[in-house]
Amino acid sequence: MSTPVLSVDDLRTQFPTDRGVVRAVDGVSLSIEPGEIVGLVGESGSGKSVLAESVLGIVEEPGEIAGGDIRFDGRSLLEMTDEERQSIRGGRMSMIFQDPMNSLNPTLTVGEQIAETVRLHQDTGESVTLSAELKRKIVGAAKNGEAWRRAIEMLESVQIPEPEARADDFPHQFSGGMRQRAMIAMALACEPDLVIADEPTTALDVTIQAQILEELEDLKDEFDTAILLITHDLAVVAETCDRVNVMYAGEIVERAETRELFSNPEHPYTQGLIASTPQLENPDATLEPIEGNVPDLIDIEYACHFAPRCPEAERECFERAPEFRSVGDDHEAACLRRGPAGDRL
Amino acid sequence: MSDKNAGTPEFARHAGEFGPGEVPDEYRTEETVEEYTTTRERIVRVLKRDKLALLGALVVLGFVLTAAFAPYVAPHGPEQQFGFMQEPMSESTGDFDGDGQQETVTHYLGTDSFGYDILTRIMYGAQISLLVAFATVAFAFTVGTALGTLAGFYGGKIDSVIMRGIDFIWAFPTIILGVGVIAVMGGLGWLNVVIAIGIAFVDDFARIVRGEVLSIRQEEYITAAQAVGMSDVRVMFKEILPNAVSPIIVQATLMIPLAILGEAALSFLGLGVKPTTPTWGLLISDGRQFISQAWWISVMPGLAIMTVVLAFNTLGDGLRDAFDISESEVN
Repeated sequence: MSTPVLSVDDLRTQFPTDRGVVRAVDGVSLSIEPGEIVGLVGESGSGKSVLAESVLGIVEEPGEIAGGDIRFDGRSLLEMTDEERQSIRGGRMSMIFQDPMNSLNPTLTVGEQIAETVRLHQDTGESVTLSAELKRKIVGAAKNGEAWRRAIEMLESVQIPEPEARADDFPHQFSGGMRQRAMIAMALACEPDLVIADEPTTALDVTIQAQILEELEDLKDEFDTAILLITHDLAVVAETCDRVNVMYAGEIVERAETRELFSNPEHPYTQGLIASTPQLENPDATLEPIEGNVPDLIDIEYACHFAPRCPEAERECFERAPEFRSVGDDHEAACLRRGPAGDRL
Repeated sequence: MSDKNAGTPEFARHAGEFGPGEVPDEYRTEETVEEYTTTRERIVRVLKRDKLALLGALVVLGFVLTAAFAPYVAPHGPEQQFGFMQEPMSESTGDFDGDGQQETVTHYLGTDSFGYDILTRIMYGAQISLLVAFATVAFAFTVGTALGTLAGFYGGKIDSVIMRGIDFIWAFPTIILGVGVIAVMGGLGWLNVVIAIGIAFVDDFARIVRGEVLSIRQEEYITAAQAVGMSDVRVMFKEILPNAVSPIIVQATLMIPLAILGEAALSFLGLGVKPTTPTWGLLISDGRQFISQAWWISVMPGLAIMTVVLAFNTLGDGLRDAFDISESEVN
């Protein structure tokens, strides 16, 4: 196997608050190979987005990375200087945000925003100092450069009709789906090695969702980009991902190849998630909700975070932290009741 | 039934003339999007609709042009002397242009205690008064916006330190702070006046900008900008400030009349520009001791101040409506 594009090792990101420390990401490990789509599934508040922000290094104050390591292409991101990380962000690693309505600056044209990313990270011979920028704006030379051409090219590759004309539009003149495409164009403009897509389709309706996902997959093949797809939508995962990580309350509880995960979910949480999703083949089946709520992430005292909601919990689940056990082909679950040792409990 | 469907077998009658995405020409609609309105277009639109704002804009424009072209439009030279304390609409006869002939000139606003024509002095005075006002607001705008942006963007300790300083400025009445600053800097001159009043106005801009930055910073496009590797300075200038510009413009328009008043007050107190330069404040001050004999010496420049302040205020109110800013946001 080649070096993973991204490997996260025992990452801990926490937020000190007045009531105590919120451990939003609590010892998460995962890795992404080049050109692979990896899913990260979990409920709201399970720490998915904080994980993404940690990887990009844009965790909001007062959050901090308290332990573990993030390696990008073999190099530790946490040991880099701010400048080095800044040059990686948007260049070799970029992010697609959840809400396309708010992720584009309303005062800049869409083309300009994409071109700017290109100018920042690729050597197009266009200066990015503020004075040079001002000059470009006044002279109107922004559109003569390589960066603008690239922006139009990207808009075209994400299927925006009439990209030359549309590049001049402001974000509010775009529909939601088009804005998300523009975001994708921006994220892929510098041909990154890794794109983190944080719920890229959640704010869109279902028909547009399918188009965007298809788009993402095509672009992945075209640019050979690895994608970390963060979502709470199991259907999206089943549709697109090669491998899936299931996250619950700051921890990853199960990981497997997609088909394997859906046909043989092992962790009780994953089983619950799948049971609470409508099945096409079996429309009459009653949906089984998972009882209870995601716990408050402040100072969880029990070892397995899912134990209080788990239908199979034993006393030991509250006392001893579960480690990952192999439960199948390339399939691991963090549950004391699973794997070879599980039955003895 | 059109020709195309004429030979269509019965079972295919659903395959109509128009496939997916096709419509008859008369039903074809252009995709319309809401027009983007630039800042300039919005201003023009409000001036067209709001007649009071338009009037304000015209008066302001009139004053600015008069000030700029004072040597050409003023009836006399600023140092040319006539009879002392002549009433408005009175006339002087004499050889004023040095061509050896007698002519009669009218003093529309009268003359002052030195025999200067008041209309002429007001026109020349507009130069200094407006220049000082614009420069003052420009100074407060620059410093205030910079401080407010830093405070709002970084928050925490930086925010506390900057905003406590701003509170300190805010706690002083403008004129008292201005007098203090001039006392510290020593000496008269328009630059000192600009700095003195400018410092007193910094707090208004800093507060508004900080508030705007605080809310804009939460927007997802700011996170997105950071995620594409923009530096802090870049995020502040390119992403945040352009989105905060409307309330700042309105505030600037509403601050200009205050700056005019501030300058007039300082000049009146003898702390403004050099005493012989005509400014509105000095003109009022000069007429103070003669108010019982010649009311027009003080009242005429006072009317000029009133008119221009009123004009700026109506314009500012119009702009506030144009940018759809609530009245509580700017003051």
